[in-house]
Amino acid sequence: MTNIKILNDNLVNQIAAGEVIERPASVVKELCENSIDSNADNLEVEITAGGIKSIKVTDNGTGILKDDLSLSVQRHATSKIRTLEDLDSLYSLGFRGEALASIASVSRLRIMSATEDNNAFMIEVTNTNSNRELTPVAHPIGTTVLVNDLFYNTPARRKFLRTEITEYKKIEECIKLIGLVNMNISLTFSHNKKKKFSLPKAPGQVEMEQRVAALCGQPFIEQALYIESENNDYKLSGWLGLPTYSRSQSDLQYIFVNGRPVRDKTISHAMRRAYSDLTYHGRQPCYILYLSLPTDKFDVNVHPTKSEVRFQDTNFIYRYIFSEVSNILSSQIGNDQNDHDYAISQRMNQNSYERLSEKSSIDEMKNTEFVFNRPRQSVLERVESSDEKNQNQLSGTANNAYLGEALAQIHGVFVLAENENGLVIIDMHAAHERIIYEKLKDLYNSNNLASQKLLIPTEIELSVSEVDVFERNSSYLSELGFLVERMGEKHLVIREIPSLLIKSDSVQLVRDVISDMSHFEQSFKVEDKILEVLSTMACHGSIRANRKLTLDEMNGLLREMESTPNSGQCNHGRPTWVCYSKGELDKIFMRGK
Amino acid sequence: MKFSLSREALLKPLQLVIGVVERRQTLPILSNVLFSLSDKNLSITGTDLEVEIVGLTAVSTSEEEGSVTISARKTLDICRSLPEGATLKFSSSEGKASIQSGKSKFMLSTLPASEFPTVDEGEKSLEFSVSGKDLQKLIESTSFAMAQQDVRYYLNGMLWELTSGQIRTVATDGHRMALADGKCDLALQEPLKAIVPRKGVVELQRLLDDDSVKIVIGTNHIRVIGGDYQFTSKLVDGAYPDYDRVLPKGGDKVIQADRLELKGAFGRAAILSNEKYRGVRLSISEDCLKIVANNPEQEEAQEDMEVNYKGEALEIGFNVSYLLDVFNTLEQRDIKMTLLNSNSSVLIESVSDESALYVVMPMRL
Repeated sequence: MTNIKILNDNLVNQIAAGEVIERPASVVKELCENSIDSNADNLEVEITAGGIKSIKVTDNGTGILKDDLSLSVQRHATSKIRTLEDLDSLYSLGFRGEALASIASVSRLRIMSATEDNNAFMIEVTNTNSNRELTPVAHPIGTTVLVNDLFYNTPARRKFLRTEITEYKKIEECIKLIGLVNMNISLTFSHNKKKKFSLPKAPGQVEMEQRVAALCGQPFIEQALYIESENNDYKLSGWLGLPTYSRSQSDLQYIFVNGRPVRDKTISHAMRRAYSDLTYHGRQPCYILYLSLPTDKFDVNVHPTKSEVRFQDTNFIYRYIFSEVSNILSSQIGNDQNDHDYAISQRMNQNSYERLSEKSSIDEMKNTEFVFNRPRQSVLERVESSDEKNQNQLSGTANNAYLGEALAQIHGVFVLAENENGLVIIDMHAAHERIIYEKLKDLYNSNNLASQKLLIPTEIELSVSEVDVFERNSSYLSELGFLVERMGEKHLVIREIPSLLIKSDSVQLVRDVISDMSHFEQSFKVEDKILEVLSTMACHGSIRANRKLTLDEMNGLLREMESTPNSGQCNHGRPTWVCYSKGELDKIFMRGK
Repeated sequence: MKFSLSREALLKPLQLVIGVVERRQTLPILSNVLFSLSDKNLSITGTDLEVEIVGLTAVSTSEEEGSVTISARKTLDICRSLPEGATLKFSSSEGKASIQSGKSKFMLSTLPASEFPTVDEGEKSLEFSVSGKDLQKLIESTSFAMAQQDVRYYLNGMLWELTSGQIRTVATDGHRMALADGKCDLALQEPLKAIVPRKGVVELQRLLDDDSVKIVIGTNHIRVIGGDYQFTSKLVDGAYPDYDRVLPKGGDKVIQADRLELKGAFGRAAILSNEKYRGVRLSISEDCLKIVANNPEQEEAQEDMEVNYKGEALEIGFNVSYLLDVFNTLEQRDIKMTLLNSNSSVLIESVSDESALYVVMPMRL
């Protein structure tokens, strides 16, 4: 007699389902991923009662062969990989061979499928029936999976389900993610027989932006910058919300790695930092980011839900994303939240360009993309070559003077200016502060670092593992002007500090850096501190409210803003200028009605 | 309480006390001063719970003794704006105080004297007298080097080290250090150390004059008693760094130069140094000191100066403010700077008088 027994298959499946199938949304995710892996280009998802009662996913993919149907619901049965080596060059979303088996073990599952050469067959699987008979049905090429009564046999799980509405929201979010990645698949989604959205295929830039607008809202796409860049095998694309278009929650931040939605500390940290001195305190930036990289450079097999990935070279990923995103953000001009009509033209930083873009919206989109992928000079070249008529006008400052001519100063704080579009209002202190800040940053970056030696070195006590982390990353601190040495097992001693930071609490700073290093393998605490010092200097060095400016001074300020990166926000993320278009002004006075 | 006195008799003690009364207060009574009258002597006390100053004065007529607290700033402003030589009549009862002078009359609200916090006397451990002038000099020679709001709280003050016949003050902010010695009438078996907080040092500096003062040091407070004031400060509880260890030893490169010339040259070079960290580069060769300063705008200042130096050439960087502080504090004409190498600190002192010495750590530019 033995106490230890091998569990029966059904129970094993139910245990496995605990990890993969958490709630109706996980079923939808698994089924949709199967459909995508079967090369479908049309996907229909129908759910009732928040997916608790039934979930139906229909695709027009390759389908499942008759003989494979009964195998498909077996555990660890898959067509996606064959050998261990396949894991290293994975192109499909799934590979574990668990999904259908897990779903079958906790619901009443029905699969209908037809391939090009086979007629359609249906298989019905429930926890209790073991005779998995195939019955012929009528079905076009492709597969339909119907999941009824989820968790009917696992009351514990069922108890933890939320209300229908909550579960519906989760499924909607899941469909949203699928829609954002699979632009080449048309997608319909309905709940309780009501159509929620229907997304056509999006082959081009315009259609893609339309789809993003449908899923994330029109305002987002209007105030987003398109990013596209390539570095060796790494590709980055997506939309970055303007810093002024921020949210109080981080719920509009999507990261996709090779078409897979993921949560990744490295990437989100890099994004947070790229937006750091642009967003208003406590606000969250919005972005949709697609990263693609060679399959052997990262590992998705971390967790059954595959929402985590491990990168081989986190440092590179971090720096790559940070530098690309901050380049794009600093090249954008100002905010345009009050000016939807001109959003596009503002984004392109060209007033005269607007006339050109009116011709065709497709052109416009393509050009937008182009503009932000190249440095400034080439923007001009491109515009000039594409518009021979305007060539002569597109020279010198006149072309770049998008903030227009200053008119007056009001309340000692705001400068009014007129440009081709309408009225521009500038907060002069905020604008000047940013100009000085960017100058200080430039100067700081172009000069050697000076460090002050300490007469009385400061000791820090840390844990042994923290001191080890320090030793692995000590070059970061020394590059910035610190001289920190290990003294004994648990002690560090600071002998030199950067001269800019002599007023700061260096012990706390070094502690923070080490804590960052052990969590993110990255730290920007020292740079942040230095930027903070520079920002304070900028604040003190910039013109204050109630300082009377002459027109020449105002125009000087405008021209400097135009040539300063990030000049749309002050150091604290507040906007520095807004533009009221002629159309909006007309509306206020009901002209032309 | 009821008394009268001349404007000047009240103004002087008020001005002594006002320094410790903080402008912004969470405890209302701390913005008041305590008036206390007994035996024709009026004492005015101000405190910020760390430092307490009592100013003493005599009244012309005393009708009723007692004590009360009253707004420090308002009383001072009233006193100051009355005409010279005016006589003030002061009386208080039931939460109000009135000040009357000529045709002016002021009614001020008061808080009860019993709520006014007093600094605990604590145990006495040492009592001695010292000339106010000598003490003033010791403080002036070192106070500039005290730290300000450093997390190492014990650096935000001045170390007083007492040994037989000598009092030594030391101040450092972790980057530079100042040390001064003075004589005093004192016999001690074991040396005694006390850290006077920064605010106490600053206030004491304002009080001291040429007269001799009595100093009482207790376990956690210090009291300085002068002719018409009494100063009490809490001591900073902490271990001051071992200053002896940071005094540079074995320096073999000695520069001698005129203090005012050094001050002028460094002062001019400082104009074009980085405004945030004020770095200057020193190149020392035989009998010649070259000072170069750069700022981020790529501007440059260069000073060539004749000095007395025999030895190897040396390059070293410093925060010019730290050096200027020393040159401004020293009084003698000839100055000696002793160096070892470009990584070690410089020792600066007067050639003739060794009672004060200064250590400045270099900068890596």
